[in-house]
Amino acid sequence: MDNFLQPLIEGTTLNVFNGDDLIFKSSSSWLYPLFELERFLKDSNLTYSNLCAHDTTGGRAAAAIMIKLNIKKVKFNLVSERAKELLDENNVKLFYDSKIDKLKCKTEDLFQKENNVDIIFQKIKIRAKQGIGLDVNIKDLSIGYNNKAIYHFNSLEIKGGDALIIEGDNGIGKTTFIKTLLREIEPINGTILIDNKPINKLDTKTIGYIKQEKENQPFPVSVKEVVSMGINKKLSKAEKNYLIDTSLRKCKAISLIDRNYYSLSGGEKQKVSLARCLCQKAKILILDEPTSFLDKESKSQLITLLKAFRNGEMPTIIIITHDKDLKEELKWDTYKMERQNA
Amino acid sequence: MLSLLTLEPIFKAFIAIILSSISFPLCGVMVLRLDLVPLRYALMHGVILGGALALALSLPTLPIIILVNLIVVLLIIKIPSSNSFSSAAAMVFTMGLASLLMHTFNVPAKDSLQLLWGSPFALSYLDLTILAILTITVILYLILNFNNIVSIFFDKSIARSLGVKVELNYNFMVIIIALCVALAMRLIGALLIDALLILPVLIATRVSKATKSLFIYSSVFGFILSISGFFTTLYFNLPLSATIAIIAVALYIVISIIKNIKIRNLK
Repeated sequence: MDNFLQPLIEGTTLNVFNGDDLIFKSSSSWLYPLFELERFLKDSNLTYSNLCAHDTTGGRAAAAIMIKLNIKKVKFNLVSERAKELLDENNVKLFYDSKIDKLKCKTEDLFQKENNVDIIFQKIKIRAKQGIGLDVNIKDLSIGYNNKAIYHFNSLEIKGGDALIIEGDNGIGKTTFIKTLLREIEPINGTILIDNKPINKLDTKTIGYIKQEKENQPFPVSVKEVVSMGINKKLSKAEKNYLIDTSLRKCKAISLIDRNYYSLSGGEKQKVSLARCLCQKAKILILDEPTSFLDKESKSQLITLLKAFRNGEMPTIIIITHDKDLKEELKWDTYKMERQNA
Repeated sequence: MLSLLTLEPIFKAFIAIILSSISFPLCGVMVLRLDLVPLRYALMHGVILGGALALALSLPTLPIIILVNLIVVLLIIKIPSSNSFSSAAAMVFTMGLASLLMHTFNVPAKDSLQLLWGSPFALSYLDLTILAILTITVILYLILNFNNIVSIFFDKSIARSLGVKVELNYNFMVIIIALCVALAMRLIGALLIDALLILPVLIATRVSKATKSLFIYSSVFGFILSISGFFTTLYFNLPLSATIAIIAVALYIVISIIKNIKIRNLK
């Protein structure tokens, strides 16, 4: 009998083997053992080709996470039919002691009609607060200049780690909204709470901001200087260099480290800006028209990076855009700012 | 020629040239990166007003020039308008007031306009002390605050999002520039202030890929220009500021040609 099929020792909730070698175990409850496994796999930096897991209970969410973690065979003591369907569709070999139609929990109900493993994975991580992103809650917010409101939000809520695309006509107030979030201007009325705190009480560097850039400047600034702008000053030099290096690598921009930022293409600049936010450990990412000056290939690379952010660090992402392709590619929730009567 | 350094005015000018060659180009980077060229012109006019005021009231020139420039800076910062507009208004106002003072107190225009050429060999120890304080302040400010300065140069909105106190830093830099312009006017004069403030930065821009190297190269080029200009002045008995300016422009042209040849070869 394969090792992963052996009964779990009392108190253990998850065993994971690579072939016959036990590489990970956990005694946490709900879906947390699987999130711990995700971190373990990420930190180990090794590629495991034959992952087999033994878990106590398997619903549709657990099945989706296992598929995302590239587990080939899984044994559940108790599995739901909905989980079985998803595992079968994705060619994961399933073993189980007993099977029921569905687990009696909210999480199972939430994903009963969702077949996209990526979406289930993202949503469950948001629900479990596994990302670094913070909740954004906006209520009765009027934004504008000189006490004259140009746009009013009744209510807008973005869960920590979730993403939102904001679209709207020119002049409707999208940039004013960004300026309000960045505290460059004060709201006229209403509240913006981030992680249940007013924005003026937030830690500095919480928000990473990437703006559209039209012009190059004649004065040099190196990519390394741009990326290290938001770095924690208390870190040692070695830690700083490691963070800069890993951030640039994640954004596939390490080869640009010594280049002058203003000599880069639009796509390269966006990669560097994302690395800056990564280095800053921004919990909320605001991108203002990120694809404005990008060619098709750069746009596609940016989309891949944004998706990786969404699945990896999971900051809360707010994108202001006119770009329909970007909207269609990302398939994220959209908020449309529409003309309002005075 | 080195024996000339034993003469006090020449020795003081030599020390002043070394200090200013380091600090003025650093301020020049701030002027160019923050797009404060109009402000610099306003400050130069502020120096003329300060000079006229000092002569009219028979007061020491440099402290009065610094005081007037600080007032001009504060007015420009506080007036709710674009800096370019405020600077233009300040230019007109200071020159108008300077003319009025010269007329009212019978100040010979020649004396006041002496500031246009500077007087490096007539510096007092007080002037040197102020210059040394400015140099140390600028260097310490840059070292201790480098990341914040880079982020402000890069983009003020992004700097704000990083928690940088943009307005505080901006105002501090403007005050440093005001001091620098006042000192530079005394040292090399209004007409050639750019020889030490701006030209070394423009030369450094041609060879730098990072803000850090821009600051370092600016100071290095400022130092090379000043020292070579100083000794050329002594050897050929030429005016200092004009000599530095001519050498700076020549160096800028040479470096630009080399840079263009390199770019062409790369293509």
